[in-house]
Amino acid sequence: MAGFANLFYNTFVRRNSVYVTAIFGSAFAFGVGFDTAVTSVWDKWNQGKQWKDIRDKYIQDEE
Amino acid sequence: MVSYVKGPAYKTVKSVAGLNIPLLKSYVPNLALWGGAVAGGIATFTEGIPLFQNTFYSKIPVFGEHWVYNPDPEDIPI
Repeated sequence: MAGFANLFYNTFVRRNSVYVTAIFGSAFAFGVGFDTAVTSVWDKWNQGKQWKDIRDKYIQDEE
Repeated sequence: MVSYVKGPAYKTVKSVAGLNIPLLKSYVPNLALWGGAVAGGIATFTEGIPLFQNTFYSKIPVFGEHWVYNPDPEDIPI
């Protein structure tokens, strides 16, 4: 555990510029990842109930 | 016979307002990292803005699809 803490400190915290970059980078990545994960859970939870799932029953595309 | 000099030969580096070339060069790596931090900050706070999404984020190679919103026009409630 101390090894991990040291590695973390030496990699990310030692320089403030690296620290701030890591914070913003991970915030950006987390924003995208969380949104994707929650959307996928929502779609799975509501499978067959959403308009995109039942659209075919009501609208036939002209082709 | 040993030849002595009167004193140490000092040299001065040309500087403007206390800033000189070697000093400024030593700042470069850190300033580059700060540039990355600024870019990350801008990316984080503009992530939800459509102009930025369409101009930059949707063009990111692998996960750029995340920002592409292309619904069927008849699926958008008025």
